[in-house]
Amino acid sequence: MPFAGILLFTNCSHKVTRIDPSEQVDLSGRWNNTDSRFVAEDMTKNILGANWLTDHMASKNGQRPTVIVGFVTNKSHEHIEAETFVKDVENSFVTTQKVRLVQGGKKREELRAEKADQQTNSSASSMKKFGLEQGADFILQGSINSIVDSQKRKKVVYYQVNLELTNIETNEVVWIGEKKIAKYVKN
Amino acid sequence: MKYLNKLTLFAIVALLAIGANAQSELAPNQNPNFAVSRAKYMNISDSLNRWHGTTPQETYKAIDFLVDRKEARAERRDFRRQLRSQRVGWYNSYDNYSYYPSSYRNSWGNQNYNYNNYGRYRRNNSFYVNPWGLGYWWR
Repeated sequence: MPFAGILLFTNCSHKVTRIDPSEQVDLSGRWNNTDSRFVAEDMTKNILGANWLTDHMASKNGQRPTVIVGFVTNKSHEHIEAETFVKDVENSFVTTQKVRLVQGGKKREELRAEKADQQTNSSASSMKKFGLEQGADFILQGSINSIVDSQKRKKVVYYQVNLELTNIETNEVVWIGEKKIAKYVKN
Repeated sequence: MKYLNKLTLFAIVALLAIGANAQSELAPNQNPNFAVSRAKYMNISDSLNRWHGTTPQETYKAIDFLVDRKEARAERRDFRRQLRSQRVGWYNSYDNYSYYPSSYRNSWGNQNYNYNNYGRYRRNNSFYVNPWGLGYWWR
């Protein structure tokens, strides 16, 4: 009976509460959803308000630029997935309709495989043709860097996230977005 | 009719020639050797572009006092666990009823207190050895 009581007590100690994703909760001091959100907000605001967009449209008779997402290399000391904030940037491209976005990487391979499948399995009228993909004008690449300064129980962690937009034909970098985050952690 | 056929053939040949010319024609200011680079990257583009949109993890290990201490503790704990499981094997072996492995004992069956003979389970010279000749094997 006391054993059952202990079990009951231990079961009650585990608690899960839903929180607002925009709420700031810092537990360990490591990279978390708040940092990702800060980066996403900053990058989204900057990339759509920068000159590269108007310059491109002016030179191409008002045509919207087409962007593909390349690598975002994590060179920090923690495991960080850039997709959490890059997806927000992509989302802003699609929802504002200022920029055309094309698939790259494995998703593009999947699309081509599906197209290949259609060549033999779909009806002639619904079959999609090869060679009609939208070519990207710009590629979005980036990097995540960090610096850690620790002394016994105190630590300052600095993250720098950079996103760069480069003209694929000319290799000209037309936009650089930067977000710096510094945290002081005391254990 | 014969004249019409000749005209059609001529038109097709002319169109093909124009198409071929358009392929080889350089854009203004284009490098005439562009085909060398194009041939190189046409072969490797698939392997490079497959991972677009992903995050290559090139992380490094930061110097962090607390993390290092935690790792050192875990390493010591793991080592002690391995040592305990080894001792079970030593007890159970028929040729050796000693608490210590054969490499710890000399030819008379006694424990060997030679500092240089703590062999397999030694991390450094000072870890198992104290001035009285007994190993700190329990740590």
